[in-house]
Amino acid sequence: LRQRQRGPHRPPSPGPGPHRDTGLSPHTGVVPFVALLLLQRRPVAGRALLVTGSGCPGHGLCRSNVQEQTRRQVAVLNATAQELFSLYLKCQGEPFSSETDKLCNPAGIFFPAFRVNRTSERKEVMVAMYKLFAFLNASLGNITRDQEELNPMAKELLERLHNTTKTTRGLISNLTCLLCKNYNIFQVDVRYGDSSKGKSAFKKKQQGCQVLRKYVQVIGQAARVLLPHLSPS
Amino acid sequence: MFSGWNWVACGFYLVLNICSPDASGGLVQSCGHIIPESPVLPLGSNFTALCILNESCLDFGNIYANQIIWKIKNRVVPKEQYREINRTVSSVTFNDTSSLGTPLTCNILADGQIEQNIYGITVTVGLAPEKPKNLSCIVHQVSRLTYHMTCTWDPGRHTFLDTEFRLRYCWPEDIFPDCIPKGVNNSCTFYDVHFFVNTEIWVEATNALGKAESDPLVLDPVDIVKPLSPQNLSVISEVLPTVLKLSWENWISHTVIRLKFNIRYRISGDTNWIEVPSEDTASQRTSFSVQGLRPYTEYVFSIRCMKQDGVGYWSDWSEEKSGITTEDKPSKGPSIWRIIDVLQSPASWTVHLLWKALKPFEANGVILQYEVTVRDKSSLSNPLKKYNVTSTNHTLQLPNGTYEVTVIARNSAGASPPSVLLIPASNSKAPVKDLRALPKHDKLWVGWTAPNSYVLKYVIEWCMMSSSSDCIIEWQIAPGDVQGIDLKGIKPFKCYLITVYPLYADGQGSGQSVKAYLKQDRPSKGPIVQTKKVGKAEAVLTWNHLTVDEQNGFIRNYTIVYKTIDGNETVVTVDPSKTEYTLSPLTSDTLYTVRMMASTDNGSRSGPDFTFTTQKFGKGEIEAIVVPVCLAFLLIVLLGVLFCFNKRDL
Repeated sequence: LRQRQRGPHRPPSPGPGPHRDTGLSPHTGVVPFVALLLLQRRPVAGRALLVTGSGCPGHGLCRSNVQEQTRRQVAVLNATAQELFSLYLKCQGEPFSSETDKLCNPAGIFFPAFRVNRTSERKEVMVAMYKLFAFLNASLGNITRDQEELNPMAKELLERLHNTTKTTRGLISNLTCLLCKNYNIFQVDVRYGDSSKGKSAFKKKQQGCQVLRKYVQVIGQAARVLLPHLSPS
Repeated sequence: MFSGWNWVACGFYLVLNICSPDASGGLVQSCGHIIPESPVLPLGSNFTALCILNESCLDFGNIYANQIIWKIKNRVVPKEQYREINRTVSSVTFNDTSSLGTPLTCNILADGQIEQNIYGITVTVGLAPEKPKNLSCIVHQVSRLTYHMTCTWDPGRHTFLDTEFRLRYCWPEDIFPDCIPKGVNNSCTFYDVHFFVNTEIWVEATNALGKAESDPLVLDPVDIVKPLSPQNLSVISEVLPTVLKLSWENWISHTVIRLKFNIRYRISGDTNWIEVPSEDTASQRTSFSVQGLRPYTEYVFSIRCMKQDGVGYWSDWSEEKSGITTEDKPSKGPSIWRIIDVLQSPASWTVHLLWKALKPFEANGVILQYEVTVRDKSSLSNPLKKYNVTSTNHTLQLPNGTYEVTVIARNSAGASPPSVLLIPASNSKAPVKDLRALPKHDKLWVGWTAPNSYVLKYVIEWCMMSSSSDCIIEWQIAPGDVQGIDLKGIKPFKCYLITVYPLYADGQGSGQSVKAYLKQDRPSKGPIVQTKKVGKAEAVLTWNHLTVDEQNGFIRNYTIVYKTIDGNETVVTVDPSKTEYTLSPLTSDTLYTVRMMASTDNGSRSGPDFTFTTQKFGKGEIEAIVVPVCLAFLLIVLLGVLFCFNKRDL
């Protein structure tokens, strides 16, 4: 690897969809060369790992402040989640504003489980976070695409969706960095939800509502779990 | 590639060839080509071009590479630079492309010595881009949720070529679309900024001669933010008169960036800002109480913010907002003085009490009224007299005696401490000594020697003397430990009467006065002289003193100048206190012209001329001649009568 690695030029996100991604980047379906090299370094179960991190892509940018950055990103998402959800409901109009509990019950959709707590292993927490935010990044892409079509004049909602997506994308980058550098993990199975493409306007709104409602719950949980793991020591 | 003339020629030859294929001296169109085609060359390098003739061209006869003529912009290249490679190829070499122009053409002298153009190329000379330097970036907060990142760099030397600059940025695993500057080559703005990810930013410069990259910047964009200034600043008066509370809205969420602040303020109308110590505002907040202010004073505030850890940039100062502190009671009582008018009756005074309005930082609010009390100290049975006054003076009729006057200033917050003035029945205490007044730049300095006793304070009175208006007294208090004071607002060329009174705890000294000018000038008029009495050999001149308005200074002397028609001038200096003078000896029965000049330290002014004629005879001279003559005549007549009577008797 070159000293200063720019990384391969990647095409824009192909859009969400119910597919499995076997690489750390959710953006392509092709395992990059670098990842192939790293695959050769898959640790043998039970053997202690030499965690150097120097083989991780962009390791020069993966610095000691990544933990603090990750903590700040989760704090930002946690602080803005409820506002985003409230604004989303307002912009969808009726019956979503008045029948939120009934229509936005997230029981009807897939959402990655976040079964970690403060005492969980840090590595487990990082992996769970990665799965959560990879899913969220794709879902926000869906929701943003749908709202651009259904509510093109809702500038503030679109701006908030865009900002949340940006933060999520940055969070994924930092988690990728932490997982690779600290735990030599370069492969995480991620499962995505159903795409809203082809669904009716009502279904699109409802799916977005369900995802965001669950997001509000989970992000608070993630902030509570994560902060002790990422607080400055 | 071909000149206009050559197109015509080629067209002509084409027609000829079509019409008469056997004609000799055929076409040179498409006869060859030059390599390299349209090169881009580094400035100062060497360059060789080859002109390759087509085999088909040679069939036209007598066309060989050694007939090739190279031209730059229609100027022939010296043959020393040519080389014949073979029968069909000629090269030309330039050792320094700095002097190479465009186009470079390959031409040939065909039959009939006609120069024909074979091919031409454009040559571009320039430089490879230098490594861009001094790359720096700043993230501007544009609105609540929108941030733009602008980066600037030094593009290096001018390349003389189209050079493309691209600003590139990437994360560990992502590369973002490049930013391509529009219209400039040293700056570009990203409109999509992500915080909390280490980002690598660099500049690539590319042209036909090469590529250069700047050193990369690695940063988290959250560390280079210039936030929007705090918005909706408001200033609220508090109960305490020395405190104002500021509150504002931060347009950047504390979850994104925790802020620290600078607060500055100034008194309205003043230009000097005072800053609140930065350690007091070094944390996230939306309000702050500024203390230590003056009561009842309008202050202007402004505030700015930046990331709390000091990494990044300060915002611009916010819009200014004003507020007024609440009132406090006056901090001191007004200075008091009196002017006593005893002209009407020595046993009864008209006392004009005067006091100075408090300065704003002493008044601490709007003075609603002054409370004046007058206590007769000579007779304790007399009741205390109280007056509520809204002006800064009050006139009383009081019998001659000793009085203690107290004045309190009151505003809505309370009353000032009392100011006290003792008015004794007589000013019997020691006065000041050596009172003098001297001009000092634009002020009049009044100095004195203190009396031996302890003086509480001095009162200095002054008024401008004028013959056309009253001498209106102005006054000022000086502390008891000074022996001089500057008077301001003194006009030049005006006479001022200055009086100094020492005030003691138990009485008052008599006033000592002096007259003074800030600046003197020559009189505005000269004295008008006339004769009071004219004799045979003397004349008594008389004049009036100039009015104080005409003097413009202290009159040091008068000068009388007189002369006859054909005589010399005689000059006499007269004391300024005089109003008469006798000129003698004069010649009798002679016309004299006289004028007077008044002089100050700064010049003189003459009055109008006056003429008079001395008498022919002195006083009593005519009587001394006429009486004896008449007596002699009477005697002669008597003697004659007596003679006649005697002659008849005989």
